[in-house]
Amino acid sequence: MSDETRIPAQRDLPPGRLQLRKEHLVGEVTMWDREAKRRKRRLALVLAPVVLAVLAVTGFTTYALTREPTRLESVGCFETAELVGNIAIVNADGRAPTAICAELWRQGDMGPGPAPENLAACVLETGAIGVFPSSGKNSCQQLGLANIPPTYAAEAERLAALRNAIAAELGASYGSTERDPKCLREEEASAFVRHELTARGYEDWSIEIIGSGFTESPCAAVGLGFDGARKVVFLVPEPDE
Amino acid sequence: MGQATDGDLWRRAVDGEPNAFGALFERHAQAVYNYLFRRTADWALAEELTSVVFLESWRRRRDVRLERELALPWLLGVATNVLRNGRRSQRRHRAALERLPREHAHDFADEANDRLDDQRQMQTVLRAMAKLPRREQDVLALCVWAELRYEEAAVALGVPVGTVRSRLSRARVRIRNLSSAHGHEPDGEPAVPAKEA
Repeated sequence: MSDETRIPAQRDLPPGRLQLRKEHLVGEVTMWDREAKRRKRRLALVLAPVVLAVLAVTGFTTYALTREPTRLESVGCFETAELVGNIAIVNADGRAPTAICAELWRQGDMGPGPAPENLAACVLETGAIGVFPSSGKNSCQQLGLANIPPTYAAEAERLAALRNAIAAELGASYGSTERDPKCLREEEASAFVRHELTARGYEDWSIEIIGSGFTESPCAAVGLGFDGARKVVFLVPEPDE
Repeated sequence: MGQATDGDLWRRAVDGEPNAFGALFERHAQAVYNYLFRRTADWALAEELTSVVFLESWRRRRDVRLERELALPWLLGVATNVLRNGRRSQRRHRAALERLPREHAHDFADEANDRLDDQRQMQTVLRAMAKLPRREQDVLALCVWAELRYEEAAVALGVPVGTVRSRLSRARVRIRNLSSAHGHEPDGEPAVPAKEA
């Protein structure tokens, strides 16, 4: 047999190293699982009001045609460069929408396929932001959508600042930030939110309470939701157990 | 009670039982490790990529339906993809890999020289193999070096069994021709020696 085809014999990883790698693997996947559950819970808590109150009625992609983004509070990460594909709707956090979706791709939350090389952020007909895998320039135009206007970044940042301030005051977990919940009465929570809305130039926004959590208990932990199109802050009370 | 099948362990892992995945690791890590060494000619890289393969498999665990309850073909398929995707796969799991304690460097002291010889030898083999198209290399590595059956290699690569057969056949012809061209006796294909104790 020639040298070019002689394969070295198999060798084992020593038991100590094998055990080390096994423990590392089990530790990592346990952590992922815990994080995934937390993320799912957070997303459910935050998006529930918006999804129930608005998205279920209008759908994420069917709404009156506008070219200005009106829903700055969320970003739709599309799995493929088409409007009918799977979408992961996540909170906008002031970063560029493409950065938000790129992170989802990196984490494997967009499915098993490889992350696309490029992403394009467009304004959907709903007024929300959609981010698509992109193969070059004019990706938004090819989908019949508008590019994000230059004013978007500042507006998104302003809304993110409002949301962070409210979440911090209410002790609400939002986005990737976990907070210890505060137990609040409805008047307290509403007053906090109204104060921030006024102070930050969102006087025309209203507050809606979702569910009966405030009446079931003297105080409740509060989840948050935002709907930029309707200019509403949703408070979702979870009764103290 | 009999030993749990790969399928049982996989289903438990999908249901959120990391220890079942740990048991699968224990069962198949050595095979994955050796497969990766034979594709990279680098024992240290093979060890690192073994972790990457299992982390990647966990990420994709819900996409899998094991054929005949065997996890190894699918794991070697993931390993083949990890090799193909190169640094991208490692980047994806970089943070996890950085949390791995760096110890046990002395574990290989007894056989360090042998392992270096292995690497040199395997580099020679891979240089010769590089003359084959990538997909023929994959089939050869899975069917001959990892000793998968045709059906299992088909699962690993996500192609029909007939494609595995034809690629392997072409690879064998090419290797024979290459060996002849280099003045060697044509001896078929890279052989797999018995596993060392």
